[in-house]
Amino acid sequence: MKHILFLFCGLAAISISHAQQRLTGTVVDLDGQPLVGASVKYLSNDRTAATDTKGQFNLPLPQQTDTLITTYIGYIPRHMPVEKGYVGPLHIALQADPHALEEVVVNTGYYEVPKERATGAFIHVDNALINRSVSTNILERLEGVVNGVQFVQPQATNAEGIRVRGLSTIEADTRPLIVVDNFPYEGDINTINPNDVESITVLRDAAAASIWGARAGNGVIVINTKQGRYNQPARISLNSNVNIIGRPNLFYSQHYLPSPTVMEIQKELFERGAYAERDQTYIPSYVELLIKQRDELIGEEEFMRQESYMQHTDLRQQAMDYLYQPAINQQYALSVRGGGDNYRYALSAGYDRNRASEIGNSSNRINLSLQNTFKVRPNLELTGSIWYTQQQAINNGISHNELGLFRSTANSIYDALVDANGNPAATFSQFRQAYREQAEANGLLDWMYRPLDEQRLADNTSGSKEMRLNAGVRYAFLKDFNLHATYQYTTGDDLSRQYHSPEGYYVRHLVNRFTQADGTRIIPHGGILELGVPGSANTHSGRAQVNYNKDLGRDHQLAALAGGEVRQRIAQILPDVRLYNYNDDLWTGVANFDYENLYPTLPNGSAWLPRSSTISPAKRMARDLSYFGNASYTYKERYVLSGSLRWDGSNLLGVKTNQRGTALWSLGGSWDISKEWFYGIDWLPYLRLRTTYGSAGNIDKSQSHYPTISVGTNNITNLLQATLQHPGNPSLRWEQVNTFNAGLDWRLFGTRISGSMEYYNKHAKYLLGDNMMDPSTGVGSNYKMNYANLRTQGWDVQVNSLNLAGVFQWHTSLLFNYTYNKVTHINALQPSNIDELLVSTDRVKKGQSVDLIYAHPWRGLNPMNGYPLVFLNGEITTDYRNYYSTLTADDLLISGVTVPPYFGSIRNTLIWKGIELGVLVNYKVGHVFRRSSISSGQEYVVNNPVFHTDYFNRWQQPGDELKTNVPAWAASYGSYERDYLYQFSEALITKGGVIRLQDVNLSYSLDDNMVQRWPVQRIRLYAYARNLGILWRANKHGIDPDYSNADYTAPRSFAIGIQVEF
Amino acid sequence: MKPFNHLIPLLLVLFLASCGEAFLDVKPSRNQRVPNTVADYLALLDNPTANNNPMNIRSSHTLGIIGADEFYISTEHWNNFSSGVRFNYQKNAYTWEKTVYEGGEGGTLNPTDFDTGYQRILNCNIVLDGLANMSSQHQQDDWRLTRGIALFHRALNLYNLAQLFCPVYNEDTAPVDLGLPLRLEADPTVQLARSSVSDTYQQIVNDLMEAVQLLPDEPLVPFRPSKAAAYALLARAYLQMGNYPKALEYANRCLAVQSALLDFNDLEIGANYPFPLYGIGNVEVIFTSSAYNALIYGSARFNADTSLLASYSPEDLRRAIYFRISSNGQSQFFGSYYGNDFFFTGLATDEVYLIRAECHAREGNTVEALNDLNHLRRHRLEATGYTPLESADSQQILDWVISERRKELVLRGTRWEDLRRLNKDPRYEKPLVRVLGEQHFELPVNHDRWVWPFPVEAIQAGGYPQNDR
Repeated sequence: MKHILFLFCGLAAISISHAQQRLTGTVVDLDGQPLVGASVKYLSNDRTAATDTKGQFNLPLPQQTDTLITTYIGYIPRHMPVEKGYVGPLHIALQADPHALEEVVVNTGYYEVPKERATGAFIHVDNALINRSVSTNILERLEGVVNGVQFVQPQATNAEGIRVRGLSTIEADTRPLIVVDNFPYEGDINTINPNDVESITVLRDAAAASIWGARAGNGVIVINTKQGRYNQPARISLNSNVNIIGRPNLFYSQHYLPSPTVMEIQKELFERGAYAERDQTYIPSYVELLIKQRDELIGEEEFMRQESYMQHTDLRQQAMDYLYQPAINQQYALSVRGGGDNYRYALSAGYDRNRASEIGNSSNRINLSLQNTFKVRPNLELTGSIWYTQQQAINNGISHNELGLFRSTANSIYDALVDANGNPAATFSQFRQAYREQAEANGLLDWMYRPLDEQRLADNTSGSKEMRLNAGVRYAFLKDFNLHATYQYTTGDDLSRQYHSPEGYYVRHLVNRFTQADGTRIIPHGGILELGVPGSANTHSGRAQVNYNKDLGRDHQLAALAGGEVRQRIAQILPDVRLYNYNDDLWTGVANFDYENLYPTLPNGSAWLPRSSTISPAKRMARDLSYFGNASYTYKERYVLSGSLRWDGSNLLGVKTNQRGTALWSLGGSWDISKEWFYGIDWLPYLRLRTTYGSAGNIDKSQSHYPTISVGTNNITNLLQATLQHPGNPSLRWEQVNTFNAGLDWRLFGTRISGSMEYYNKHAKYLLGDNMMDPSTGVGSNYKMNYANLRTQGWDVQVNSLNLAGVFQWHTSLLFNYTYNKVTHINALQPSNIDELLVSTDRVKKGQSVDLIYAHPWRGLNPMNGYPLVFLNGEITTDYRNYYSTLTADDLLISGVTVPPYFGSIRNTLIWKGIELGVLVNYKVGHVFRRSSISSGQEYVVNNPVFHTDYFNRWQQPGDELKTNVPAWAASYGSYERDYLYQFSEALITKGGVIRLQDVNLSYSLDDNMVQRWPVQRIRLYAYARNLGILWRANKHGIDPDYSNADYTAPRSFAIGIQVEF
Repeated sequence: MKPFNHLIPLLLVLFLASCGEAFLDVKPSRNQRVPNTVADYLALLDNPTANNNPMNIRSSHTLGIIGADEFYISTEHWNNFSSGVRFNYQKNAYTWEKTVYEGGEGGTLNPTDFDTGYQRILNCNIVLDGLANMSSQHQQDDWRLTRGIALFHRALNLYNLAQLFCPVYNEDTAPVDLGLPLRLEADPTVQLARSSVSDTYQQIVNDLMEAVQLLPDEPLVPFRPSKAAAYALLARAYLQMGNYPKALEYANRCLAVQSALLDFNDLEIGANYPFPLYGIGNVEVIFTSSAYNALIYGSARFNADTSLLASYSPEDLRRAIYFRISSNGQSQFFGSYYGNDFFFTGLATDEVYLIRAECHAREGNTVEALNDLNHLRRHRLEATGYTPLESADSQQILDWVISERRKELVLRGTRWEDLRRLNKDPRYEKPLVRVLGEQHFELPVNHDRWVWPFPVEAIQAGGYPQNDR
């Protein structure tokens, strides 16, 4: 002991005596440019220094002959011998690592790991890939570029539309978990400005789930925002772009018939006396014209003129001209990042201004953020950050849906938005037009509805705010430990406001409707203000973890972490507000009306006064608690063994204490075969095998072990009343998902071709779902049982190649994904009603995919009458009802799956000097969709006609059955059974395969050599075009399978922008 | 470095670990909980009109109203009637088809008699199971009240379901006739067989006999049952079983507590709805509930049965109070004691008078029978045109009482059970007939189709034997 102490004192004395003398040097790249933040260390004692902004470093003098190791990300490390007492200065030049692209560090949100050492199925999306597309939403930028991520809804802007590696549950939440800056994010994803995002990591396998816990069974998307670095000169970056999105093409939909045809049909109905000419019944305007002609209220010439005007009017064109415009999204983003020796920061501001495609709708978003990190002591780092987002929207537009276009409950296609003189025209509202025209003569207010006036008078706004605060401490202690504790607080609220001006239809209509027989008005002729249900939410999250990293000699590396996390989220809503006689200048209004009694209304009936909804305020609190641990061991840099363990619990209502939580675990390993001594395949310089297996859980929070009730006050008896929320399920348990993943990473011919190939198999057990219950139990539809097992397997393949190198470069990135799910066990009865199977979405069948679609068998049309051909007792029958009643579930065909099992993309990038051109092509095949068509006679339903262009392809005479499947015309709507036999038949099941030119981007970068004279480092000009069209589709009906039942497809968009770095 | 510094991380981790279970004990929402107090259970029964398992609306009477002879719809409405799972069973019931439910019915949008009845029984059983575990509180008033209410509701729903889905009570065959599955505990995993009809009625009587001990004479609100309600339902059940002395006894006990009648001379003829909303303030109402407003007998299609309309004498005020001719010529019903479009299916004193009158007449007590009958008629006929009925012939008096029941208890849900009960007696049997265009449908007396079939799901998932039709 004494000796050691003595030695220590001696060493201290030596180091003091040499305090003035230090080893100095500079680290540069091969071009002589200084490298900032490079690490220089002695091999013997791990003493380390980082280079400053000039690339300079200094270290204590070497105590012995030693080796200096210099490392910098993306460069080959350099070992350099130094003599004892050598003072330098050293000039260390590092060579860029040609494999640098592979040196990706993956951030899982809990730890960072070089991708080469990760055993799990992680995907890293770097900044360049994020920035290749232009959008206001961050998730949208992942479409087609991330292996294994499927956009079930094209252009999905939220997690609902995204599947990561297929399904692992049937009825519980299928959304992947979204993580922003290390904490799960539950707010509106639109609050995240894509310009603030540095990188995204997608976690796809069990290793992911056991890191992020119970909510990660569907995969995790980890979003990391931009951070400053120590010793980095301030980098100012400015990005601005404008994106022009074409107006919706309403001519895409097939749910219409042209004006002359609709008029013929209505004329025939009129002649049949189908229209009840009552004040309270809406009558199409052409029929009103026919009535005027019949009653001789209009001259023949005027009739002909108006009829002809209608025949030549197309509401679709009018809607496109007067209701829609190209949308214009403008984006401005500024960020400043940098740091000194003990301080680093990132600051950003973003402003988005979007003009929507509906005229009158627009929105804007403001993002502000500031992140600070202080190195208080060498081993203590404090972080404090703030993000603020404010979104506002004006929603005054009128969509084609409000006109009833394609859904024909209201206007007909020949109706116009402007009259012959270009003035706003009156169109559909309730009640007869003839009655409304009389309103002013009867002492009422003008009762006409003119959409273009409403567009001008509307004053509807909504807005939301969100703030996120992070605080963190990182503290290194002992030798290899560090503690990382973080806390996050988020708060947000949203509001909506609708002001109905006295001139608007809404007010005029209500005033008229409640005008009494003696002319008194119950509702004053003033503005009406509606404030929507205000919602707010806040979340506290805290996490503490201890990390341990140790290099045990050259061959052994150990990394481990353990910690805990708590989280509480409170969401609440308050009642809405509705004021009558509201004066928008004075902000005065009244609400004290008699809402209890019925008032007689015009033109008939009686009604209560509309009032604010009487919802009570509600507050929900969700709490989660987790403990986790994670370790990985690397041997000889080629064998990696990893494992993790986690326990997750929530404050679930009505479950036993031991059911509040679930334990999750995973194990993984990887083997870098190419580093083995026996490995000698020259053309395959890199080959690594990795695999993981693990178990995760999931639960549906609406389910309960014990009965649960919801308590309120009954508004009749004023007594406390409780409704049964859940009757209790004593056999409830957590869903369990076991996932196996095996991957092979490889590189061919130097670095020219690289890629990965992964196989996964997810076996989900005890899945919850609606089981058919014996109704004598009293248990209703909100009752789920652990009733099914599901297996999802698939392949994710990625190949990156550098086809041409040199001045002209050509890169290709190919993604191929296959995913298929199959129900392996089901403990539920099949619904006996076949309509349920055809129409509803949760039709699970053993041995089949969850995404299956049923259809009636199709035997063609009856040559005699052109209706669907069916056989009852071996004979052709027209008794569809009877035939239908004999059908059972076994008579239905399973016609395929609605979600593509095969999908992927091909991305080509061409680079020449500063010019880069990228083309992304997406493909999806192997799925089907149900095409829409006519139903015989539904054109002749007075109140709710259904039109479809297949009307023109219908069977018209014997022989047509050879060339068409569309049934014959009918004078009136027959039985729904006849209809369903066609509409849900195999004849309308259509192949969904499609290859799409998703986007093209073109950019031109001027690097610092070219812009030396300007005070800038880099300028990048870019252009981006999206939704450029379909290259191939499997169907021959002109239908875009991604938009098979939509009114229009996603319009093309074109953006240009500039990015400048100072 | 201070040794304390090393403790900080350790303490932090320990702190997190100690949060543990208590942190997760917080309830997710103030107004949602696992019921565990008497007040919670009472609240579950004081749930008259909510969407989930309401106790006082959507009573199990739909098939009985559709199948009985109180209304008809026109051939045109029939031909244009909506299709689909929500409506097909109504059409099937209207013409007494062999198959009524096709599978897939149920849910809050499409409440069916079987489902809603058993949903209410589930509520009762949750309450009864929960109260049973509170042994220390058995003598407390609120515990007794809550148990009484639950027992009454369970009996009421078993009774209503038995009228639809079990054969009519027949003393000789009741021990072997198929009754209801008797759900007496909440656990939905319990598998049951169908009980016998006599067991079903015995359960109804047992529940009510205990409820009588627990319930107050008068309820706080008419949505809650009272002693009078339990007596009235006992009288109704015994009448259905043909046990006239018992029915008489409980009718007497009921009327000893509540006996007031409305005088229709005091009502305003032509008022939108002549009776107060929900029966609140109506002196005749003992217990209030209403039927589901099925599309087929909704006001847009409803026509009152013509023979029913013709049965009222000119001085009978009920014709004008109950019925009105709409602008399109339909005779519509406005006489619900529920005070709106929904048919009243609760209990009221007028029915109890008629039960007592019938029992007296059947027992040969002609004077007492006429007293009750005339007491009711005096409140229903124009004061100027009223003459008391006089007879010493008990058969004549019984005829009068039976026909008075039809005229008085219009669309109360009792017509179907009366038809079934009276069909056993050749004097009062009545086959039913429907005419739709060219088509004639008939439901012969005592045919199997007087018993409605169980829902498809009950047969498939519950494994119960189906009623033969």
